[in-house]
Amino acid sequence: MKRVFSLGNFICLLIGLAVIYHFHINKKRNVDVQAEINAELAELNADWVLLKAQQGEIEYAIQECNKVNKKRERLKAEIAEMQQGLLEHKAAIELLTEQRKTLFFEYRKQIREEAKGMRFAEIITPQGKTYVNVEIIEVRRDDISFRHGVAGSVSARGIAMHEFPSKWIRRFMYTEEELEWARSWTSADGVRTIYGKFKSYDEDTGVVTILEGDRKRSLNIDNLSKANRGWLENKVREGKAKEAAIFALLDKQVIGSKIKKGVLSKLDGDHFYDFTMSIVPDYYVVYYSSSW
Amino acid sequence: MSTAPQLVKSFNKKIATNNKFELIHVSLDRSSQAALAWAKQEKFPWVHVLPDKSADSGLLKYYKSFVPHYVLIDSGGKILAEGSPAIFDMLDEL
Repeated sequence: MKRVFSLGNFICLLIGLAVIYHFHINKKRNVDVQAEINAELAELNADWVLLKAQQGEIEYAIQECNKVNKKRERLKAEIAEMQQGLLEHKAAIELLTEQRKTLFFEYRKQIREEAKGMRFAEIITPQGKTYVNVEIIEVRRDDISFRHGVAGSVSARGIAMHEFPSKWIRRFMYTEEELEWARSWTSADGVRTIYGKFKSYDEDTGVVTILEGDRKRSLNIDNLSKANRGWLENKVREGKAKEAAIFALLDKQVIGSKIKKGVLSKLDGDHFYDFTMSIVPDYYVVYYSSSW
Repeated sequence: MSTAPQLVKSFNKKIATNNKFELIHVSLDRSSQAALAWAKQEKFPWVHVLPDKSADSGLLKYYKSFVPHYVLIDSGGKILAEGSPAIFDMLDEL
């Protein structure tokens, strides 16, 4: 019997089996690797989808940013326009205020000119003096001249601002500020009265300073009438309350808290006086300089 | 040439009529007498910190070693502008 399984055949069989095994194993391995690759591909795909989504979000965000930037530019332009408008309005208000002032003075001038010849049956001054059959001669800045009296005893005279009857003050449009110049200052015994605008009162020394036109006069509070003293005390009380309120606001400021009192000076004629802040500024322009 | 007359004009136009602003002159003169002589000569309408009070004012820390020097400061002490033209331009916007 011929030997079927010779050594050569046996080796060939073994090699064949080895090849088959190798292919089988490799196939199996390939399947596993394929599965791994597929899984990785799936993961990558998922990442890709995520990245795409993120890219979309970023693009959307960029678009939104662009929109916001455009809007910001528009708003900036609008703000600049509004600021310009505000400046124009401010200028217009200043102009109107000036025009109003001018019109007031023009109207007042006309009223005073038309007053010439105006008649009043009777006027009574704040000092209690009565004039009858009054005919205005002229209304001026500080005084009014007129004729008065009955036929046969007509005379002319002028009265200063402190003697104006209240109806004349209104009719001839004297302002509060102008009337301040007519404030009366009477001695404690009531004998002497002078007229002038209040300028200042020093509580420490008791000295009241008033202005009679350009002339400054100093009066001692103890020599003034009860009414004047009361007025001054009230003025001091009001001033202190106002000062306390202003100081409270200045104390909240870095700058204001340091300069509110005792640091600043202001020129008054030929000397400096201690200046106390009476406003609460939002901004300070500081000017450093010297005479040299 | 003194810059004071121009400053007086700008002060009268933009500061004296507006309570939001105050101009403070910090005098760097050696004495109050020198400051007074100059103020009288130029008729300065603003408030001054005289040499003996400058340390108390807290304003020397904004000074930059040359004159004239101008600084615009808000009430919180923040510098908003420096130099006269820049400051007076900015006042229109505030």
